[in-house]
Amino acid sequence: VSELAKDGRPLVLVADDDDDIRALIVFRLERAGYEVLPAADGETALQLATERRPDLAVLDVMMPKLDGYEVTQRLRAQEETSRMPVILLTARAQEADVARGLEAGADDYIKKPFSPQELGARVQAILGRR
Amino acid sequence: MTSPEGRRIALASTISSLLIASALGATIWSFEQAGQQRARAEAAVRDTQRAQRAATLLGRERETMAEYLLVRSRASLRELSSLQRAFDQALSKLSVDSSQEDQLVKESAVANARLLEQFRMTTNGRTGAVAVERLDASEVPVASAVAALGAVSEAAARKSDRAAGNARTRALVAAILAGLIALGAGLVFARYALRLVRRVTHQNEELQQLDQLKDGFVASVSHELRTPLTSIRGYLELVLDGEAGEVSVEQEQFLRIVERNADRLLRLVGDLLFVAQLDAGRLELELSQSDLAEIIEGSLQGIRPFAEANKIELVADPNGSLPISGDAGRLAQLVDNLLSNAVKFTPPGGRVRVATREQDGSVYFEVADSGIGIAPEDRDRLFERFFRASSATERAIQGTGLGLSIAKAIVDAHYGELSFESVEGKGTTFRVRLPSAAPTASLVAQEAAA
Repeated sequence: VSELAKDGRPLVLVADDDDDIRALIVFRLERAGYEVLPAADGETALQLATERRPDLAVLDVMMPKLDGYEVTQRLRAQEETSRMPVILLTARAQEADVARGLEAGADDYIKKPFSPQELGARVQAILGRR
Repeated sequence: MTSPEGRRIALASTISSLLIASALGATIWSFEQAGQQRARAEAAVRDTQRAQRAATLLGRERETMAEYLLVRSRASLRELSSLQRAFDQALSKLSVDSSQEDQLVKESAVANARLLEQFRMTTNGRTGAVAVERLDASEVPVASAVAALGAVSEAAARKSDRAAGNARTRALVAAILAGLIALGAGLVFARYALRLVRRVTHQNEELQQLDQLKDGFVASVSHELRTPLTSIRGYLELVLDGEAGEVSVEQEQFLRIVERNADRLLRLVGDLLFVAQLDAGRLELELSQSDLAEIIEGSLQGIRPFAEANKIELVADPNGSLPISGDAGRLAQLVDNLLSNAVKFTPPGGRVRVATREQDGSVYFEVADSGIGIAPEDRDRLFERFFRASSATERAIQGTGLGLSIAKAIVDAHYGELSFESVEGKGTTFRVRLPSAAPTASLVAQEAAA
């Protein structure tokens, strides 16, 4: 049970160590009507995800402290976050990386550079499904 | 010629011949030893060649190394050959010595025969006594002649003995020498082999480390270049979408230029990473069932605005679906590259035509333009990386010289064929054949092993 809905808006965790990209995603998702929890590294992302239990997590793969794969794996391993949808952002577009992300338990992945609009659409697709 | 001396001489000659024969035997034995050594060395070269084939699978650097190893073991084989040549020379010297020995024995026999011609020997059948008569009226007394004969035949016998002894010694020396040479060659080769094995192991480790470094480098360059581009394109999109307020016509026009150039930069990063992957020997295909017709349609849509802006007619004959097992992303890159070249090298008012067909388990497509064509002197180098045709540089047509080399690499990775035809001033046609079914992994492995 997520604590999101004080005002009924879904809560989305956005973790990326690049300030500009993080701000870009936050802007786009807030415009689309989501409440956004920003994080600048994997450890913070995991902590926020565990404490606030967002409806969805957008995780960059290459982050300091914990990378996106590891955060995903740990989220899957914890009872309370095991079913949280995860979208991975990857600058690498190799099949092996994609496979690794899906293996770690990600629901979707988006290759960088991505279109903010497309990211919004993917988030909506996953949250709409539930 | 039935005198005891004659018999002794004959006997001595026989014995020395036998000994010479045994020396020859030893020589032949030594040859065999050397031959076996050579066979072993050749087997080692074959092993190295097998190692080279295995190395081919590990990538180009390792192939270069195996070649180096092959050269090294050939050098060691050459060394062995020269060792054998030296040995052959030693043996031929020995046989010359033996024939000198032979000559001595022969000479003494001839001398004896000449001396004997001057006498007549008679044997008394009853007493067994031997009488010697000199045939001519010489002053030489019979007794001294007999004594001389005895001395000569004793000398001959001594010579024979010596010759026999020498031959025996020589045969022994030859055998020992052959053994030593064989042993020495064996040791030299064993040391070589051991050193080679050590070096291969060491270099393999180094190459693996380099490989990892390169992988890390490619990954971090990919990240470092794509991250700022993600921001540039992302924020541009926000502004152009009007998320940050209304955009004037002129502002939009300028921002579209920024966008176009960001896209160009992104493509360049992609091309450079592609080349880095090729260099690392890791062009990984994401194989899936795709429709080449759909891929071509996508590329046509992408290039259409540019073609229209340059007043170039784009003609495509839709031919139904073209199912193919391949890497859809790479195939799109291939079609993009061929189409954008065709449009870039066709002057306004020209035409670019795309045709496709399916036949005998292959799909074919061609991109024909009515452009400036390719100069004959540029044709051989067209698929070289960073090569730019003289027509491109003269007309300041943008490009890195990577497009066609990448197109070729993609076609090769799909086991297809890429060819072209060009008439200067009339146009160029690029033709691609791709197998409908991509080769399976086992087939690829087989081909690599062959």
